Amino acid sequence: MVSDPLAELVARCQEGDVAAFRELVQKTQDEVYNLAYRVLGNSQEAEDIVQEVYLRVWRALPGFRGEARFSSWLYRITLNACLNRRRELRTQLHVLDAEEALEQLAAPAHENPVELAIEHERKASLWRAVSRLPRKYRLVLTMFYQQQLSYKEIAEHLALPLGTVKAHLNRARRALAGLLRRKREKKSEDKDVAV
Amino acid sequence: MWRCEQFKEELPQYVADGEPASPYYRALRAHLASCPSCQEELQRLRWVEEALRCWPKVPAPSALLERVMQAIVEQPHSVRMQERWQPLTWEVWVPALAVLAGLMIAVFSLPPHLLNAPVAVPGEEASQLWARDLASWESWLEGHREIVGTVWNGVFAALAVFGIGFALASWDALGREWWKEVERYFADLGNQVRLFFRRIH
Repeated sequence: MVSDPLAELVARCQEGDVAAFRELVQKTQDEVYNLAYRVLGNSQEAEDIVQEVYLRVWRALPGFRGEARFSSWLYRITLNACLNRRRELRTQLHVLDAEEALEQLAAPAHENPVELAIEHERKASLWRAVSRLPRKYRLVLTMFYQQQLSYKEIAEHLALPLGTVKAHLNRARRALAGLLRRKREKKSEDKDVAV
Repeated sequence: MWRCEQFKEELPQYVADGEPASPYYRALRAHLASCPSCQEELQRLRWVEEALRCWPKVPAPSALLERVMQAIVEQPHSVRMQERWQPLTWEVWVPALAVLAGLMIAVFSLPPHLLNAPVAVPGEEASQLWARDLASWESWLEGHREIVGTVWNGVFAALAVFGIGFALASWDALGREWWKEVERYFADLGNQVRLFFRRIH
């Protein structure tokens, strides 16, 4: 048994307490939705998957023995559902709508609003670039930076060796740095042409 | 140049680890001090790392909670209970059934004097009736002793062989899982009973 901050709530849900389940959904839905959204790249698909995930969780809860954290279990169900859904779709999914993500970004205190806007735009372009990376890279980036899972946890969820997880992350970082380099090179070329 | 590429491979992890001053990265740090190309890559990776650390999560839409709960509630009650009920796997119920049948046969195979009807008390018609039924059942058994005995012994032997064989053959394979299943069954059974009484009150 592992200590789990959601254990009490989960126990109530296991007794069929619908109100407790509502509270559980409320507490975990952002994580589930975010992962589904990042994997599927489409808000409608992500919403459908979230509903499917919680229905599965509700049905399977009586069998949940608390041998792992509830969040890890939920995560695994979400990931499996998303990957199955992706296989079903078979088509290229819509590109991530980064503007939607941008709207959610709380503006940090900054002295110069122009600088802030430029910095935001640069970061937003990087986040958009993430959505164009291969799925395996996007997945580990989401799990590491957004879900804040450790290398070990990611390796367990994806059934990959620890070294492979680190390698995927490092290649993803390098790919993003490469995009940044090319962008800057293009910018300076454009400047030269203009001069 | 080859060496430079090797160091660039290490750079993302170095940045992600917070650029530690550990001896592991000593060679990398020495190289960085003299390589402008790797320094540029370091700057880019620092910026990437910083941007990724503040990569915003996309929160669930506000209507999603209601949608999920609606789907949960809309399931018919009986379906919900059925789905929540963990049906026993055949590894559990088959031997359980065998044991039950064996017990029944053992009880009915008791010597007749142990199955004698209780003394009827005047006025207690139900017990008198029961004693009469038992007596007629006994007399029927007496009349067909050979056939009944053969059939029951056959069934008992078949069940015993099956039960023992099954247990021996599957014990290793099932191992702990089997016990977990039994444990889960009783836990679920307890849950159902508790839920039942809660609903009644």
